[in-house]
Amino acid sequence: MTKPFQKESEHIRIEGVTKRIGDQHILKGIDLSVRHGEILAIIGASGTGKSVLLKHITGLMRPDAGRVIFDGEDISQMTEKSLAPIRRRIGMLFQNGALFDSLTVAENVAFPLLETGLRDSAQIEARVRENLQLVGLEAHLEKMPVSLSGGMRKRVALARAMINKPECLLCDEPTSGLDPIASDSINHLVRRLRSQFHVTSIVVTHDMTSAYHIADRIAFLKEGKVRFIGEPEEIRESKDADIQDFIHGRSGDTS
Amino acid sequence: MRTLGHALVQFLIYLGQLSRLTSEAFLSLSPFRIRWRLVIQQIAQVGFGSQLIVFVTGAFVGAVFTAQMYYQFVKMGVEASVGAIVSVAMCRELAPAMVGLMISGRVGAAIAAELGTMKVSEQIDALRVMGVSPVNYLVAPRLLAIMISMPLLIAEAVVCGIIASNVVAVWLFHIPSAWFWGHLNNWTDLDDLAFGMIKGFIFGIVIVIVASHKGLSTRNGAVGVGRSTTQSVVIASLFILVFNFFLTLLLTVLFPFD
Repeated sequence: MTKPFQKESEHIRIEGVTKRIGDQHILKGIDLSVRHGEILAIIGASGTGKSVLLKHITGLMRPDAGRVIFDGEDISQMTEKSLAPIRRRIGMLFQNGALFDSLTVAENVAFPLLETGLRDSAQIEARVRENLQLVGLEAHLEKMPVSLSGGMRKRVALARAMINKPECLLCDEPTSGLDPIASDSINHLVRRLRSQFHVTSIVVTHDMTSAYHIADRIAFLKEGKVRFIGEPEEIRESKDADIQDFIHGRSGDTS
Repeated sequence: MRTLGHALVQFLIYLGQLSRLTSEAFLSLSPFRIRWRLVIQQIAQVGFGSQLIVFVTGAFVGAVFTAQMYYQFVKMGVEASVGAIVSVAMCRELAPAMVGLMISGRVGAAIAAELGTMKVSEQIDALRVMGVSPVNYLVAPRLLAIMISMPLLIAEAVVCGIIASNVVAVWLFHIPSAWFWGHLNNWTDLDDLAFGMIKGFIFGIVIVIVASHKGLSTRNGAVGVGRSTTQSVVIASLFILVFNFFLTLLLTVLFPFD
């Protein structure tokens, strides 16, 4: 198997991150290193803090302890203002898309371009079309997000996340709630971004098929810690009972 | 005693959060950072969208106050000066307070609900991830729009109130129109109108800041949006009533009765 990413340097490092929300101890010391151009899938049961971890990487949440290092810079203590230029290098796909419902599909996708100061409307339109074509939605430019299905909204959100050609893409359950074909097209997109633009991706997912399909490495989160990290083959052959239960979808209940 | 102290601390923390949001929003109002397109959209919503309620509020407050004053004044035989008292009261107290309360119900609730929905559906996070400050994008345009609209809405309510007052006084109570206007002109000047417009300006800021703060700190889905909306209207209305009293004391020093 080829591992083009391994010769690359580290892109994101998470050091001993802990986080409490209310009286819940969500993250209990996460250590993780993500290389340039790698696709890392984060799996684990609901409520183990996968989304919370993702939000730490963009500074949407601040760790109680530990550090988050993006391309050599510690972002965990930065102000919102100094985070802005770093955030523009990251694209994030939210669980439910988080499209602005006061704007049309085209305006949503164009939003990050306008915010970086691009004013040439022909160029903006071309980029918007190109990105919507990538997700197969170029026919829906003028629709409002509310009139789209869940899967379409997610694909628009992906187009929006990619439009600034980010160097890093964070996806929060990109395939949940999608039909198998739509899921597959999203998986292909994430892989294509890596092969074409060398985008580093971190994908939080429950969907083992898609994790095997896209990931270079898979991290398994359990009780606020990284229980296991390795290549898809390694996790498949892991002897850990929790991991085996998770990847085979066994709850341990009998009936 | 302990719970009282706790409540006081909570209230002070809340005031602190409001002041922080206020300063952040005003800093966003530097000419280079204002999003004029959004400001104009918001003026259309706040200003034009409130025409009906301002019209009705102004007119009927003016009308009822005229009727009430007439019944009292007629006992003293000074019913002709009803126009004077109505216009001063409309300018200084009734228009700003009533319009403020109505706008906090219409505009404040809309802001809290919209921002709250954006918060729980992660749209606020999406803005932040794109390096856009939610205060700059959402709060500042609304703040500027209401600061422009509110004084004008107050003036409009005053005009509606005085016209309604004239209609009631002349048609219902048969006060000669010339007397009505004569007394009114003798006792009202632009200071009175400025008094009310300044109040409206400040109430507008209170409404937007309270509602935006509630919206941006919404949690717990649809239930949370409902709670934020209700709380923002209640809190903004209470602030308006309390501020109204202190503003009257303060502004009377600036614009004394002469």
